[in-house]
Amino acid sequence: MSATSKYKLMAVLACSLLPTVVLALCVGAEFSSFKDAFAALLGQADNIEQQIIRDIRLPRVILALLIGACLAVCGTASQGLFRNPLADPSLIGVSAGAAMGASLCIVFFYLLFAQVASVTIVAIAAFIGGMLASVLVYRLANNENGTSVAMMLLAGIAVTAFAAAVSSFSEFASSNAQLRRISLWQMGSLAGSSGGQRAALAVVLLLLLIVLQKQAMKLNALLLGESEARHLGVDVQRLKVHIVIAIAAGVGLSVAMAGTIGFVGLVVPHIMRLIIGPDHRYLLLASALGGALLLLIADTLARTVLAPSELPVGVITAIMGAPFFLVLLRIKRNQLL
Amino acid sequence: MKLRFPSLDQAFACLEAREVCLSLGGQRVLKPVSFSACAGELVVIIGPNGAGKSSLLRLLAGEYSPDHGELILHEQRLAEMSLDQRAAHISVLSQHSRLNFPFTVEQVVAMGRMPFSLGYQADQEICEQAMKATDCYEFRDRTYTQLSGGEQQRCQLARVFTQSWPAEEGRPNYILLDEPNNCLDLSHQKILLDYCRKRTDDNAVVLMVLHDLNLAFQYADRILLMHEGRLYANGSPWEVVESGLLESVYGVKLHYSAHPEKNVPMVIM
Repeated sequence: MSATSKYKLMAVLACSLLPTVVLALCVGAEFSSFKDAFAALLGQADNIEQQIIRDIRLPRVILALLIGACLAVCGTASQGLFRNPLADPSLIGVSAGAAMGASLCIVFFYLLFAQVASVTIVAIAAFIGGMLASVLVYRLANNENGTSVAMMLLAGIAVTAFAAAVSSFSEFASSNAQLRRISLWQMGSLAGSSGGQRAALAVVLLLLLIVLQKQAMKLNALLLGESEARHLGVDVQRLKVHIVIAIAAGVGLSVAMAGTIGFVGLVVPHIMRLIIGPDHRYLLLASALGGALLLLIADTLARTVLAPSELPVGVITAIMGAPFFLVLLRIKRNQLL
Repeated sequence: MKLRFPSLDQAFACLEAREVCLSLGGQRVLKPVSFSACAGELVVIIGPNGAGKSSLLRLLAGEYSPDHGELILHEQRLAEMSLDQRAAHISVLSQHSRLNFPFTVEQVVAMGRMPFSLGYQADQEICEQAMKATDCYEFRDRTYTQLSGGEQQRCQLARVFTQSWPAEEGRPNYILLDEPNNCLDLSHQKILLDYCRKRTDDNAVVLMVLHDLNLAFQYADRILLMHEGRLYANGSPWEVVESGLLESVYGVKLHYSAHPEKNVPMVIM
């Protein structure tokens, strides 16, 4: 595939975001016509319509786009780091580590300061938790012969189990208000974010894309192997630190704001790689667009299939992603042992 | 990023190991080893399994740093050179490659131009020449992961040659190859070694590990015979054969004769 056709594909993805956004704004427990939706956006519809579309659906759509892009970019980066297409942050324990950091923070911040921790502090704790988990799993799975996939997935299971235990433990230690907050957040929802939070996420996403895009060639070289990359003049240690921080920041913030949403980081980069190839110079941006699109569709489904009640969006992504993961495992079976 | 180098005096254009020792995991894999390889030389390292050949090559590639001793490139200590500088001088083919992402052959080869790109057109030209030299130009659009072992090896070789392209007249490149004839059939082994010879004629230094003694004798200017982390012999193929060390080092009875056409020794078990 030539560079031009890669950009064309990205243009197609970007263009298909627009109708999806419009559709997502129109459907839900209450269906609105396109005309009403536009009127509401411009502030010319009646009160209720306006509230539903502009104050409830629009923020949610924006958050879905941002988090989807963020998770897919982090998935791409972590697959590059582990040199393995199965290394999704939610499978290798990074998301669980972030979740552990977040729930510990919600509880212990309260014990120490007698107030519920703000999202910023929870996000920082999630970032630290995610970083610890990714460093631990990377250390365990990597030796001088490269990445062991089996070790990576097993270490992921162990970290996830440990993190889940710590999270449950902290629930026991928490008050009613916190328990409510923890369980709401654990279900993973894209509803009810503030403008400031979305802005912060947008900034982090932009930074992630800039940092990783700048290292795209080095990420490509890393896929050849660590020593091969070093022979090509890449400071591998530095590159790895950059990637781990980027993944932890992206996943940590996503987890703090919307809970654990699995499989986006696995499915999207994989599909994009099938279409435009593994070159990170194009893959990162394409994954961001694909992730935004996928999570928006998943979230729109989550709040329409059982309307007026809604499913956690993680359920939809897991239903789509888990079979995909199993198929991948089957194809890559010979690489596992 | 373009890197420019002062034109170098021929006499200094050497890669030199001075009394280097190396321990890995508590095991001494290299006891003091000294040698040098200079511009225009094709040097072959031979020796039994576990003799320290690959360790020596990796040490020269900058993957390990020696416990004692120094590695010198152009009168400059290798340890003081930046990764960029090293990559601009030395290109390395490792024994195993583990790329399992679906890059095309062309993309893999093009990665060799990362350390000092000369611009898209020039790089493209260099990649094309390198791919033709290792006979993988025919399948440049195919996916690396779907190639046979020998084809993958040729692709990796093309990448290594692409990296060590002479940027200026007379600038020596150092090409370190660990068992480059792995998986290659006879004709491609010949193509590879003839090409290495051509590069040394263009002032490059090629240092490779080979197991095939006859192939080594036919092409090497100099043979380094290693055993148990030491350098047992360092000389022309005839000198190494005449030293009588081969039998004791390999622990097998050997018969020698001369190559019917070239003035090199031949050895059979």
